[in-house]
Amino acid sequence: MTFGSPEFVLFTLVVLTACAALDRSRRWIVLLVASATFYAAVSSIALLAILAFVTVISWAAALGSERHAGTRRANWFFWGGVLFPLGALGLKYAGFFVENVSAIAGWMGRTRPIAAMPVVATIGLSYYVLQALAYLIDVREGTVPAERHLGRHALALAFFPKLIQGPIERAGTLLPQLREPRPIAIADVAAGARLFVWGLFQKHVVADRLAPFVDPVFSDVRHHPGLPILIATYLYAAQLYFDFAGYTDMALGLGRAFGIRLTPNFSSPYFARSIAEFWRRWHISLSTWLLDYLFKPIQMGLRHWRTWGTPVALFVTFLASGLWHGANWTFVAWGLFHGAWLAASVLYRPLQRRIHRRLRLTDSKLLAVAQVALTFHFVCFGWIFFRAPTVGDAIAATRLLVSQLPATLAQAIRGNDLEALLYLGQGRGAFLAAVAAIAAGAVLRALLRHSGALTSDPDEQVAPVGLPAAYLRTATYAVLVYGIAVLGTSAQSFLYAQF
Amino acid sequence: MRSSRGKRAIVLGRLAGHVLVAALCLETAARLDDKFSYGAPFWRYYDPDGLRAPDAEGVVRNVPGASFEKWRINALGFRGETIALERVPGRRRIGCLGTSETFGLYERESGEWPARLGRLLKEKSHPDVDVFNASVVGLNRGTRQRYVDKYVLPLRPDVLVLYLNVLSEASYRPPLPGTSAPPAGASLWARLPASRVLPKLRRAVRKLVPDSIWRRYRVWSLSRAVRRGEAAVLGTRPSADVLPAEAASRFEAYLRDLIGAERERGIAPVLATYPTLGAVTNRERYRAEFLDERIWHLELSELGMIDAATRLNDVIRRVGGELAVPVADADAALPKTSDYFSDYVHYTDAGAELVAGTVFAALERAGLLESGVTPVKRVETVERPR
Repeated sequence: MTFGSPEFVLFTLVVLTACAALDRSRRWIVLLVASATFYAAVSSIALLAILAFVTVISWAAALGSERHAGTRRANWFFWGGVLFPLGALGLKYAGFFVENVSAIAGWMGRTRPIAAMPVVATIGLSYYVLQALAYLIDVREGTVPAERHLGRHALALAFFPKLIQGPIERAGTLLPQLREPRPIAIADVAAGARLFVWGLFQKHVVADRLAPFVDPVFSDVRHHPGLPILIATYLYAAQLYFDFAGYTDMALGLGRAFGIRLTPNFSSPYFARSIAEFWRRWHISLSTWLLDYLFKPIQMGLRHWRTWGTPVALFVTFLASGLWHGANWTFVAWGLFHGAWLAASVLYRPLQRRIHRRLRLTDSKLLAVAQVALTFHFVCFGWIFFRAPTVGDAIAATRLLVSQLPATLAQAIRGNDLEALLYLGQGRGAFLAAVAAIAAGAVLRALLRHSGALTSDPDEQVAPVGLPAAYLRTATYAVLVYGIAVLGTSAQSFLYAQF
Repeated sequence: MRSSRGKRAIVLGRLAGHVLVAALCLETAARLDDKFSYGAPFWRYYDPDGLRAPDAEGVVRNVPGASFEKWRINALGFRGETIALERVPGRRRIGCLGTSETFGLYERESGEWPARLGRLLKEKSHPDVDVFNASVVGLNRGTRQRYVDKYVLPLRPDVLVLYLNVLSEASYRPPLPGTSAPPAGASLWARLPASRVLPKLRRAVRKLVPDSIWRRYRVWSLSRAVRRGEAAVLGTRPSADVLPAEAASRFEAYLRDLIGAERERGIAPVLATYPTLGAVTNRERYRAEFLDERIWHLELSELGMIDAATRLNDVIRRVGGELAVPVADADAALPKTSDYFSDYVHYTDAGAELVAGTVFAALERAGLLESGVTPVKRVETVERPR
């Protein structure tokens, strides 16, 4: 069973029916059993056991930490609670660690190889561990009370719509909704279904259509000249966005159907005017987690460093962000790249402001467009490291991009070898269909947002629409359903599930 | 104040409005999709049945220039690349005459076996040989020779590969005198633009249903259809487990006549045995495929279909040997599994590749690919295709 598959939809309908039929006070049982079943189906029993382990430890540690608040014992509970989930997260990095230690040992002349660790698939682990850590910190700081009900705490960590790819929820927003569940309402189910359909469209019609263009280029990046790498990078930027935003919308839609508001993760990230703004719009639940639980404590700790405190805190935070995405040097490089740029931007911002004021560009629309374009290309450059199999490949791609782009671009303008240079071997029709799918995704997103159809909040009052607007909405969803059913390509796994 | 009945009517009216809007949008999306994907007309009739039609004399042939999804008919009325009507001196032509399995159904675009044979010839150093696919879906004994004379002979093929559907031949009955099929699209209903979204949605739903459930459903629904068909066609008579001897004799006589007719017209005939998925050992495994094919041959039981294919393929081999006609033994070449068959008689890409290879080997063995070998006696009195 994969997220969004027909089996998954059927499974969700059964769970939803059971929730609607049962008393609200017992809903957590249905949802917890459903979440455990789903997790076992998409991962393994061993990972389900780890989830249970992290759940029990974090629950007990939070209770202990709260009960003994202000004493040394509270610290023991807290650190115990933090270290166990972090230890579980270590599973993800064990292979990477051993591989690198082995390489260092080899450089130092050690001839006996260190046994390689098997790569362990850790679906969802990074997401619920962060959530457990946030909960422990919040309880310790008194921001949220410790949850006494183990079942509810378990459900907060494992709620199946957000288990394998987030959003990374905070206890302060999720637990109250689980304590006092809303009735299953037709309006919420309908709104949730609309969000889910939109998410499926983004995933199956847009993101999956782009994979056949991107994958061959990045799996053999050294044998592609400049222009194909540039186009594959642009397409990857779109693929990653629609894949992850599609998943998030499906998760938000499911949450809404169950009367639970989950945190939106995206807010038109490619329209950001700076990298800092990009991170306020991209994977918002992770960005805010990193901001609150990593960046701010480090910044506070380094406040006596004056000018350098914030840049260093940013650098460290994004290094951690890179590592969180995966046990590979490519992610480390990607995190460092973003961290370095953000750190530098903190340092040069006063100068930048002065220049803008001097040139009277502060409110210039032209400047805004240029900033959006620059930020987008910067982000795309980062995606090369994010997508390439190795750092060497990413560097090779960058080198080829710079050295061969003018020649291949000129070739393409002359109309030579368009099949390889522009269509990436997939044919003109498929390329145009992919471009059209991206455009359709962007336009429909704007339309749906504008009409208020994408709200995940059951409490948000959306003004009732008139009859023509209601028909327009029906028409839009009919087109989405057609796209998913007929134009959707064969399902690929979600990109962010690997993190 | 509106009455509750009035309110209900308004709600139902709005609901009907939403259903109508959704249906219209789905249909429009399907038509735009066809337009952009295949260049299909937006308003006009677009259906696979539009690929072929009977001409004024009742000979069913492909409609020149017609297209439906991946199927495109060239200007001469054949599937595949357009070739010039006039022959280029020094080049040879091979025609492939069959029905739907040769026309190509489930293979990818340009994956039908005649197209593969053309590519194979070019790869194997025979660039001077052109292959054209002269097949028509549903072509049968009644009009085959007239079709060849009218539409295939003008291309002056040196070789004609006769790929006969032995199951259709086994159950062929000549039409009663004075009867003919009504021309396609004659009724008003048939001329109305049919829904294009429904078949697409049906295919999408099929993809959603797990294979095991879908197969069970198909076996159930096809069993019902076969039972009903048997009751209508056979009444209380049982279907035959063995092909009647006179059917085999009739086929043999027809085959000999056909070979003679092609030779008279200066064409070197090549025969091919006809592979089918069915075997006694795989009846349970391919239950749905057996039933799906039986609907067309209700007088034969499943064992009867296997027997008919075996015996008529033996006739093809024997007659080929006796009349010195090369035989491509495609039946022996294709393993009877779904790796090679998409249904009981149509091929997957792998199946089509094997058939092409087998025909190529037969042509090569018979020396028909060597320059200047084929004796061509021209018949000049044939019409050009219209």
